[in-house]
Amino acid sequence: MIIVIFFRWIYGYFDFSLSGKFPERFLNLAAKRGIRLWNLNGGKKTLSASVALSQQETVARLAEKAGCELTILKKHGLPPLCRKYRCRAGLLAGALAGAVFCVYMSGYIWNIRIHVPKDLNEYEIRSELAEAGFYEGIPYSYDTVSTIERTVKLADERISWISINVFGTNAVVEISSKADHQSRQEEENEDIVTVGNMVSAADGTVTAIESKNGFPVVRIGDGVRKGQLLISGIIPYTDGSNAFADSQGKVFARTYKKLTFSIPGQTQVITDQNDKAVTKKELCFLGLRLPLTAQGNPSGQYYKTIDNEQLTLLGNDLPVSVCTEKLTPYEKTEKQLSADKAKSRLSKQYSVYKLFYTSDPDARIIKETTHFEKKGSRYYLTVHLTTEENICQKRYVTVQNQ
Amino acid sequence: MKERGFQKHRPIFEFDGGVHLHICGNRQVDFEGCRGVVEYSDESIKINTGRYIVAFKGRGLHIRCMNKFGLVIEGFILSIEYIM
Repeated sequence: MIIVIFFRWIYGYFDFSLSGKFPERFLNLAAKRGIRLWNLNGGKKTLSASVALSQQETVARLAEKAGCELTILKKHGLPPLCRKYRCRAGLLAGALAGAVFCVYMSGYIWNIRIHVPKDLNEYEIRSELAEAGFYEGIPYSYDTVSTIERTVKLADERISWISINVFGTNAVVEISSKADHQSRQEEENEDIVTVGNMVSAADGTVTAIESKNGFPVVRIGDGVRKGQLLISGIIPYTDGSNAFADSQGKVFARTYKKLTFSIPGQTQVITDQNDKAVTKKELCFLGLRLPLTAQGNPSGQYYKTIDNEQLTLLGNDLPVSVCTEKLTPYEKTEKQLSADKAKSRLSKQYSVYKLFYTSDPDARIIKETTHFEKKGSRYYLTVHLTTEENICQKRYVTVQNQ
Repeated sequence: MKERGFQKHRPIFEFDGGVHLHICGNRQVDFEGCRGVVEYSDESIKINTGRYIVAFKGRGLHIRCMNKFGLVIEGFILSIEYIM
């Protein structure tokens, strides 16, 4: 029905009323001639209906033949509308210009959305695409997009696969990283088995072993080096076969640590001058950057914060955004630090370290010695720690299952 | 072959000489096989079928659309009468 209404509007129609002795006769004559009437409303010796504009002359003739008086009430549709505005050429020119503008602009890419895996940075990928010639405002061409895909893939070794899908004026870039691809391949490959080993995280002497799963390869009293295997995920059996497991357990060892904390003798104090901050706004429209404020940069040193607000319509990003830059000047002043203050600050740093270290229930400090000194323009706090801790660290290896 | 007074390309109900009415409740009637409207007002519509006249009586009756084979009547229909 909507299509019928649309075509009636395109071709134009008019409402009319008939009054006379026999309006029914008009209906029969119209039906005989194949004239389509709708919105028929009858009254006492009156009739109103709608008919196509092209039938106007025929309807008038039939009304005369039926002895009725025809009155045209209202004309609807595109032809009367065009006739109404025929003196206003500007409207037509504007409509044509708008249509041409839409057609011309739809040949460009105005919005680029990038879907990146977790190990890649969207900003970096966007910069690489821009360097390769793919940015907002470029004319769309299938060959260009294919070339850009190849260029970006060759330029960035981390990318294993890239696809640029263009939907109208929107481009969606799908990227798969090599690390992601590799891990997926390993997951899919059933012949490869992942084995979890426990290796040493530090040098030390083993004091206790709590092996829950796996095969311990060290004994109490053994000296171990960093990275040495402690509990193996490959469990050997007496018949010569092996079983693969994800080893679990704890290996405690007495370790020695030397920690050095340092701070400079002169400290730089940076003070923001928020009252002198300058905010600049730019309108980014179809790849152009139009300044909205007429302010210069502040004098001296300043740092910049950028905020970009993209305009969206019904969930679609439009090629219009407002970029706000805040330039905040700052002052740098240098202060000399006294030995007492430096020692206090360094002690605080060490205390924080100790707090975090001892929060681990598998670690305890047996002995500690501290030494404070000034070398050149820096203060140093050296701490010698003797500790007992769990030195196990999980390391996964893949083995070929035969 | 000689045609027996019938026109070509006419629907089958016309060849059959009958009338086909499709009544939806008492609100709408699709009428096929119409030969002409005899009376048309918002309380009564009479349709000539050739053999007889079908009279619809009710309130707010009107012909929604019409062509040479049929018409659609809408409104609150109270009765349908065949006048021989």
